[in-house]
Amino acid sequence: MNETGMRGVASVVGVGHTDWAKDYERSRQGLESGDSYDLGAAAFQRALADAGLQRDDIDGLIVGPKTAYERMGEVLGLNTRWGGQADSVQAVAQACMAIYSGMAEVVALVYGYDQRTSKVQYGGSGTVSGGSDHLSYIYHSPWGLTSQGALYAVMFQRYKEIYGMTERDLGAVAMAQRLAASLNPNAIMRKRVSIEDYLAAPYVCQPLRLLDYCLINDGGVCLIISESSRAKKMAKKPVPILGIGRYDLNEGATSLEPRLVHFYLPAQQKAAAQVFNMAGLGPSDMDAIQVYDSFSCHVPFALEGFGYCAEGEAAKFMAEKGISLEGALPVNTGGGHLSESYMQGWNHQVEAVRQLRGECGERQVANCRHVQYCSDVAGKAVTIIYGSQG
Amino acid sequence: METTFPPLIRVFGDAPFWDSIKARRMTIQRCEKCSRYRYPVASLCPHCLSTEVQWVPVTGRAKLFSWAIFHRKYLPAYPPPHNIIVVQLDEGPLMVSNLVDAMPADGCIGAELELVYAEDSAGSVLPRFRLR
Repeated sequence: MNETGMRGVASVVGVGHTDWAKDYERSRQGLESGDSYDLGAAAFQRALADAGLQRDDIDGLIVGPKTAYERMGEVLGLNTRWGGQADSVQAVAQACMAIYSGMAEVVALVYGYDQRTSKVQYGGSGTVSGGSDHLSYIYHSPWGLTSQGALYAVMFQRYKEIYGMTERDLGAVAMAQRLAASLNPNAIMRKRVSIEDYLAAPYVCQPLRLLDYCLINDGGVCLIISESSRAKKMAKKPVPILGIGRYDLNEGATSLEPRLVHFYLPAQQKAAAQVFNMAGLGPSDMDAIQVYDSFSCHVPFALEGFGYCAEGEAAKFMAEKGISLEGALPVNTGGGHLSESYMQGWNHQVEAVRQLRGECGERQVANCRHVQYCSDVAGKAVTIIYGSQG
Repeated sequence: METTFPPLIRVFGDAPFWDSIKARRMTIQRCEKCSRYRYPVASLCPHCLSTEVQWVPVTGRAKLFSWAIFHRKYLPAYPPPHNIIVVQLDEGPLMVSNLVDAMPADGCIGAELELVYAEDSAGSVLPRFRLR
């Protein structure tokens, strides 16, 4: 098997997104900014402009999970030779595979979600989000477990009791990401928080507090990914995709075994081995990482699973090395889902690209050459390494 | 406050599970071939793929595996603070439930538990656990 086969074959050439902070204010005032298709379309226009491309240069389309592929293609006036629907990290993987296999050359990845305006509930009566795909999201509702936050609360509580991490230790994540957001004009929550602010925030599902939870906001994001030799002729410096890794733990998922027995560690370790092998790089080569953070505790789990520290050592790593822009390993340098925008992993890809282009102004990581994206959602550990040159 | 539990989530083939709870004698599936217990219900054993299965009563003994406490109201039946626990049945599988007669607190993972049955005003029965 040629494990380095896809290394550098495709590059991100354009990024675009809606004005999350403005959309958030509008939705709080009861004003609509458009439906999921409108939000995706606005992001698409900006990504095209960013890449210096015309609509007709696009020959592949992947849409996010909340919009129908055919309808988004209709809205954008796109006839394509390849397409599909996927979440953020799988969309990037699928675009690379389509390009690698010759099925497409320039793929637009379009996400739009009006989740705040349409009052999407992640818990409570009538919670069916993902229920048909993930029985664990609904199966335990007779006992009152309906929220995804509760799934991470039980995971973090067990971790706490086994490894001795404290709630104060976890507060480092919310503080670091708010520091990043305070330097990011696109972020929704920009006021810095102290450890006292963190500990004073009310529990939502103990041991997790309000500041451990992601935002709920409307918005759209678009990435344009091109075959790399063609990417070199485009407007901005291309950001090559140097590696992709994935491993899924499905066995025992409904009764929460992968989450509670090993904190998804075996999946993350296998995905990490694959991505580092493909890229020819290791954790010490990364200048920043982006971690899917529907809840803050994703960060310590990712630090351990993807090889940045040993099992059970995340609290020590966060305290001694540091995960903020002032630390040794900046994590979620735009503020992530907790503080920038809850775009279900899509905004993390944009942030990785901008850091590698050197476009991040006050929050720019110096000499940023490699950024890793790490996610674990519903037992799927998926990771991408972006570079500053092929 | 509503006194009825949220609706049971029934999946194909789990009638023996809910019927046994209603009769206060909870049973779960055990693979005839490799003897492993499984929960929730499945038509084949995820370990050995055998479809031969028996429904076996549990001992009712379990250990606390993890817990959380809701401080916001998500469901009318469960005003805050409302606890959920994950237990490991003596038979092996993990199961989500509630702790009765006490609230979980830091350090309680590993505590010995026993199965009890709770009934709502409409006669719906749920398996729950209390400290032994």
